[in-house]
Amino acid sequence: MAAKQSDETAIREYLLGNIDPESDLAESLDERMLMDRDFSALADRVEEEIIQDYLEGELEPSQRAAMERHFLRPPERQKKLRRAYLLNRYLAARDAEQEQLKPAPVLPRRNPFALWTSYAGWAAAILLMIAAGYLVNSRRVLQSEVAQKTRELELVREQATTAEAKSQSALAGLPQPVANLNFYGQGVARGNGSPSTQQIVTRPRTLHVELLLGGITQPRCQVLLQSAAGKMVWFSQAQASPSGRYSVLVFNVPVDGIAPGDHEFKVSQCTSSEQAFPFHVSSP
Amino acid sequence: MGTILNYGNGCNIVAAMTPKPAPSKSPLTAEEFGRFLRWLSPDDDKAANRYLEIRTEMVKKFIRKGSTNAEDLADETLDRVARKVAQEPDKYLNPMAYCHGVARNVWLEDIRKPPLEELAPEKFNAPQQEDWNLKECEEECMKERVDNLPERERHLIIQYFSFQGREKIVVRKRLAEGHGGLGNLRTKACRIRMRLNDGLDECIEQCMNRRQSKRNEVAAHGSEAIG
Repeated sequence: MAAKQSDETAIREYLLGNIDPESDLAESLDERMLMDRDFSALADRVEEEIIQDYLEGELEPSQRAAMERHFLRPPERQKKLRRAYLLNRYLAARDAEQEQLKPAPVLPRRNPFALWTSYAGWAAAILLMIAAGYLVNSRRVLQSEVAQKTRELELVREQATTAEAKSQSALAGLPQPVANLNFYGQGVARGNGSPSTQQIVTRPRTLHVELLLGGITQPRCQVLLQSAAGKMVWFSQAQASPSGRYSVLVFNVPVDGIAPGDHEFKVSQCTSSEQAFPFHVSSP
Repeated sequence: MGTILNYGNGCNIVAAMTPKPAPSKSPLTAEEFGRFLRWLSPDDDKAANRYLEIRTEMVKKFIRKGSTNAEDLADETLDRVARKVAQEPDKYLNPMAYCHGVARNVWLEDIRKPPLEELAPEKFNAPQQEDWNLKECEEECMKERVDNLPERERHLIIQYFSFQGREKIVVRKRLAEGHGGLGNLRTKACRIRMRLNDGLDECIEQCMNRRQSKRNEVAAHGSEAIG
């Protein structure tokens, strides 16, 4: 058990690039992962756990840095991270859907025979018979009332349908609730004051982001949105397009899942060093 | 909602360049490759399967080492091994062990190469729109794979990944009671996730191909109508 634990720790450190790749330890781990199927399966599992911990913001800052510096270098791992992120989001959405569709709780059934065996049961039966007589007499009155209410309900429904159609056509004319976020490069403040401020009146559904990048080495960029606690909020890849001496990265981020607080976009893979674009989201 | 922008510096990250490994002295000939396959197994099918198996392991090995061009390095390794084996088949007995040694040399050569120079902005392609087909296919395949899980596993994985913050801690503790503790629960969830990922790429590729052929049909139909 202890040996397995120590294997797991060693594999974790190896995968995060915290072990000198030319050391004997790295060489022996490398060999075991290739020759021993169980050890290789363990390494696969540890890799999956690292990705999950990263997505849940549970890696220590040093491990998170190692993950971004080393672990995420291979495009295959970036793809894996993206899939894991999408799967988490899918499972969370699926759970919410199921909650909505959950049937109302069913009350436990009582044995009807037990009721009739008690005196209370007989008393209830007599009361029911009296009530039934009364109901028969009231039936005609109720029927006419029900007919009246049904007519009223139909009228209300018609009014609601008309109102909904009106509101739909009015909404169609309004612009989509999109908020824009523009960054003009790291360390470059917009306007005289820093930080610059942008007010968005209604809660948007989409954040339209434009980033100006310098020192681009390839057009395909990896974009990561992280909360201040290091939790990954969103992840995608985007294509940078040239704009004079710089390049522009344009992408949309769904606002769902972005909680109030400090966040930052981290852009990597397309630049010689990672570029960070911090911003703050306040409560509505 | 107000959005306050400010700027700061982030930590450095190693750029993911994709340099190709140093090309072999001469390309691998069909004859050399044939001898290499026969060395793996005299049976053609078994040899082909063994070759694919070794290649998969090699790619995995280079990814684990953090290489950005794992496929190229794996191919270079296998080419070198094949060339050597074709010359002296009796000298090497264990394919995986020999590949391991050659892979190490290929990897060392790769990490000692200088990084590529920065690209000029003019060389960039026009920005591409996000591929909605890919997103839809990813979602479709994930749904299919989650639906195909046994009910107990499906319930576990949905519960495990559906909550945040304090709620997540409470739910996982409760789930752990029925699954032999938090450590075991974590391992189980991880294994289910790995199973969900198995074959996901193939499913997405098939879905994309289906959509592409549908688009082609529509385009062909449209051009016929214009003609």
